[in-house]
This record gives sequence, structure tokens and C-alpha cells, in this order.
Amino acid sequence: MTKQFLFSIAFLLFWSTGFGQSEWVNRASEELGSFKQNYLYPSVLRALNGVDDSGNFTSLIKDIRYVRVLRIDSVFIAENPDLISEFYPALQKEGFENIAEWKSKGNSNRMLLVKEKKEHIRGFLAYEKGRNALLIIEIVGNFHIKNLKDLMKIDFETLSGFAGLDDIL
Amino acid sequence: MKTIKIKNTLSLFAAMLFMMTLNAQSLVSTTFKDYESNENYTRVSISKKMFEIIASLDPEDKDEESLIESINQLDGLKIIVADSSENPAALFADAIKRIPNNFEELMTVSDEKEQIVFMIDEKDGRVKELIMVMKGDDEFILIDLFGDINLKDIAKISRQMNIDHLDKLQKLEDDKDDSDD
Repeated sequence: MTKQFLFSIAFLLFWSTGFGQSEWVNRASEELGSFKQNYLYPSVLRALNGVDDSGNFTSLIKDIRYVRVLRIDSVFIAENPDLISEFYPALQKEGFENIAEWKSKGNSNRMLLVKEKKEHIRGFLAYEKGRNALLIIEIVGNFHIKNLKDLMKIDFETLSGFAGLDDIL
Repeated sequence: MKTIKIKNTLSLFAAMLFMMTLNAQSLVSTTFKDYESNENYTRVSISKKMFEIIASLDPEDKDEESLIESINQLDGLKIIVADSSENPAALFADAIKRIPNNFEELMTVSDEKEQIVFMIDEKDGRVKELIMVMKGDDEFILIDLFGDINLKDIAKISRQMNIDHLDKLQKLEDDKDDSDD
């Protein structure tokens, strides 16, 4: 019984590291509650293919467990300043690397963060800070680095509609 | 004797570490540090990791293969953009003045609307850093590309990555082709 229990714990641990969920995003997600976040599962993601030939895209989707979208408004930011200010250092500690950053006039900020091991993307985060809100998109899965370009086949307009992004930034 | 040897090894190690830090720094993060932290400007930063990711993509043909090889040699890219409210002409003059002597002018493109200057830091035939400074009527742009740069491929890379103005470097290739004919 104990053996089985330990095995389950080990499996769960492996599962959570293997698919690279960010601990910070998990915490923010818990604090946020369900009404400000969306989960897009492969069944929905398949519908977001903006390109006719879907071979590679389908293979990428197969390796994605879900896309999590967190919409953090100014009220939440004001109530959780510590959590928000921890974002970048916490993600760095988790092994995420900042691969690109845009800081626009007016203090808006966009970042792409990736956690990669042996050419496999274990975590992918897009962060956008607008005037009054934060948007975090996390891809939870484990896919080969060369499949990253297939992400660009996503129909972003439909994605915005699904995830309710239009009304936040 | 043994203490001297350890001391030498330690100082060599420290020197190597220092050199590594120097190599990782770009002109924007040193000479133009104030531009990089100025919230009135748009600032873009692409890390080596991004180039590594791009380089791990499967090339579709020979041309793309050579392009990907060049991308893999890059260490980073920084872009600073200021709009008309920041006096582009004054920023352009200030930027040109600040660029250190080890940079030499590669090319200048001017027309009635804009002026673009490309400068490179080259040593032993290898370009370590490429700076592009541009002034227009309504904007100022500073682009800093660093790493091991193959100038021949930069125009192609900039087109692939949608980096405006750097594609002007194609002119270098075109001029070379014309003189070869």
C-alpha cells in the first residue's frame, strides 16, 4: 500500500515536472479564481489552426496538454502586489529564460519566457502588461523545440475570441 | 612555489571570467545604458536563447541552412526606438558621438526623409557587433546586433525577423555583385 502511495506521488511529481507547469502561474491561478482564467484544451486548439495543411500543427497539439490564459485586472494587481512583483524572479528560479522582451513607451511590457531541456520545450509563457492589466498565456506541455514554429499557425484572432482577450488589453 | 601557481591559476580564471562578461555585454547595455532604461523609448531585446531556438528549427533548403548557421552565432539583439516627441535629430547626433572608436563606418544611406548609418566592430576579419543608427522625421532607431556576425546573411535574417532598415545591408551584397560583373 505504502509502495503504491509512494509510486503515485513519484508519478505525480514526474507528471508535473515533465509538463512544466509554472509554480508561480499555479499560485496566481489559485488566487485569481476561475472566472478570470481560461483553459484551452487540444480539442479547442485543433480548431485554431489557421493554416490548411495541418500535419505538423496536429502533431504539436498532441504534445500540448492545455493553454492556460490568466487575465489579471488592476484590482487583483493592487490586492496582490507581492505576488505580482515576484513574477520574474520566481520564473527565473523555476528555470524559465527570457528570450524576448518589448518595453513600449507608456510602461507596457511584453515578454516571452521559455523553459527548455534537451531541445524540448517544458514551459512557454507569454506575458503582457498593459496600462491596467496583465495577461499571461502559458502553454503546458512537452514538445520538441522545432515544433515551436508551428505555433505561428494558430489563428490568433480566434484565440483572442475564445480566451476573452479582446476586453482586457 | 605551489602558492604562486595557485595564485596564477586563480588570476587566469578571474581574467577569463572578466573577458566572458565583457563579451556578453553589448554597446546598448553599456554606452547606451540610459537609453535602455528610458521609459519614453520603445526597447526590444532578443536573447541568445531565442537565436538558439530559431537555429534548432529544421531548414527547408540549403539557403535556409546557411541562414540558420549564421543565426546560431548571434548573441543578442537590442533595439531602441524613440518617436518624434524625443527630437530624433538630436538623439542621432548624440548616438553617433557616443559610439566608441573601435567601430568603423560600414555604410551610410541617406535620402530626403532619413539617414541611416551602419557601424561595425571588426577584429581579424570577424564582425563582433553591428550598430545601426537611424534618424527620420518622426523617429530615431538604434539597433545593436552582437555575436559572431556574418554580414552577408544579416539582410536576409532581418527580412525573416521583420526588422526594418537592417535589410538595407543587402545593398552591400548588390554593390559587390555589380563590381564582380
